[in-house]
Amino acid sequence: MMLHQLLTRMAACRPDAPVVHDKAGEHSYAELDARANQMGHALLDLKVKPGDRVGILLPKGFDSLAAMQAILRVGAAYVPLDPLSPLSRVRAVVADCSMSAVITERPPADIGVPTLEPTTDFSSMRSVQPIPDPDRKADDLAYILYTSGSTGLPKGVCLSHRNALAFVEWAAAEVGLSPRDRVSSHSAFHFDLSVFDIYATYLAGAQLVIVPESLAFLPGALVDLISNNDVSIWYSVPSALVLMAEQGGLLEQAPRSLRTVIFAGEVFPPNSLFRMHRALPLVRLLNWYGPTETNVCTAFEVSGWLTGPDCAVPIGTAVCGNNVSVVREDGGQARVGERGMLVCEGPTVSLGYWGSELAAGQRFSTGDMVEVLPTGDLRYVGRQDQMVKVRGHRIELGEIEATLLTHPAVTEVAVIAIGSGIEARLVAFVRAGASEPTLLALKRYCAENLPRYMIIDAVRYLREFPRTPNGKVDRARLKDLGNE
Amino acid sequence: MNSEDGGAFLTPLKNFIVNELLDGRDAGFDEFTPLLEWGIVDSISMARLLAFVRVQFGFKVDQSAVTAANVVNLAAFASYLTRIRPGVTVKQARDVGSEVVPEAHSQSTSPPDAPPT
Repeated sequence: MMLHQLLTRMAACRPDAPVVHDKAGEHSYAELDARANQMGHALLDLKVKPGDRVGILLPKGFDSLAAMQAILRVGAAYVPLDPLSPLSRVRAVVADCSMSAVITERPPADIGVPTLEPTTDFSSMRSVQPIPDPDRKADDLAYILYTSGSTGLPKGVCLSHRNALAFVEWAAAEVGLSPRDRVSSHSAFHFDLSVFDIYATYLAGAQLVIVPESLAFLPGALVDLISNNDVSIWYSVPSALVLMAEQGGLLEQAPRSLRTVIFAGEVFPPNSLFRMHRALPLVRLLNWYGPTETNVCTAFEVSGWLTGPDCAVPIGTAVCGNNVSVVREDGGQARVGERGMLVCEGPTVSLGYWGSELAAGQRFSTGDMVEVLPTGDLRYVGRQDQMVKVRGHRIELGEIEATLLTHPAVTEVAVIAIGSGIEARLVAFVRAGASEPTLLALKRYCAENLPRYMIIDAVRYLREFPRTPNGKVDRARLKDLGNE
Repeated sequence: MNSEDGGAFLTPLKNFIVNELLDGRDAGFDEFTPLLEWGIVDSISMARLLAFVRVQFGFKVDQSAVTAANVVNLAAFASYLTRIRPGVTVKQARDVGSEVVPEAHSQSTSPPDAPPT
């Protein structure tokens, strides 16, 4: 079984059923299947071969879904690119994994590889006949998701067909997805949450409701979208849900169609979660955990467990056939009440990072510290390194620091995440040269070089950085300064 | 930019953004500075900005009716406020801008780029 066969199978069973609802309206499984074949033939004409990497630089919607399918059908791997990222970063990703083509509406200058435009290169004149089987295996690369990298460059997490299928098959069964369901597509396609949205929908013959990127900062519009489109399954980072609850009227409107809310990517503030549970008592709440490298590797059913506003929600136990272990600092296995780093191995664990040797069956040390609870569930307690989650986005602070250090007025910099939940803020502590750059100048510099979610929120200037006894920047002291 | 284009809103809004959302220094900031693209306005600061509009100008803007295009920069936002401020008739709104928003905070107004319902 290959990942793209989820759609072909459903297109054969339920050709006229709607598969996606985007700005242009509803599209059926048969339409998406035909469009993917047309795109696939265009890719073959461009000499895209099995094993190649092809980028997708498109807004979320029918064309980007068809592009993913087309790329998989010719045996290549797709790489979703962030349309909101600066061009320099897009170019860096294109070059990093040596793409053979990019599918895009507006070909950027100097992208360095051939581009294909959905409106012209994949015309309706092309054949809708199925693409010849490229003879690929389930452990072959299916897609690469680029995440923030501590060295200042994004790194590509490589996932196979088997990795994705192991997760999607578990997830669809866990949620009890059926053809009646309408699944939100809130996450951008270059984030791993979108894998559930897209492929669990295909597996179940359900319908995907595209949430446009432009609505991401408008909680009221997101709540309206749920109500107006009868969304039954919502999956997003907690930050989006907290905003929808506190500013968007989610708890007051309580959309009747909504039956399951899944969240992942960061800790849900317990108070907010308890309020949501009380206001939406019939909605099932699921907490899924897993970095991009493992897909979802643990899960926890929140609904029957939440008894008060102070309950820190566990991340649960291993799922998808994975094994998770908690390794103490001394290398031993953590027992009940002890903490350690969560290590995952199993069918959903990725092949590795692009540029390293890719292999199935790897063991992944997450860098996440967890505590073993008496129930056997795990509870997230923090990170071992400088990776943070800000409004659900995974950020290596070192990547922002490396970028700001290239600003001509910055001599030394440390970036700290202050606060939590929707209040989390990125504060840059800067030792400047002759003149202190304005916050606006530094924001602009970040915007020109980093994804939007990595733009700093505030700047503090220091003449000297606080240091630990061994001379390192004292980040704990900086955090105190940021909170003052 | 004249008052019909949002000129009356510009200075107070600019002062608020520079002092509350930035670091008080306005060098390089003008009505065409990208607010979303440069991370000056996000979902959190948007709520603060709309609260400021309510207090300063005396009318409420429904957050769900604000689209990304309306806050792409200060000029666009001021122009949007001009079109939706109370007392502006549909005809006047048409005269000023292409987007017609008859009331300041119509709950039924969906953003133009929301998916079809």
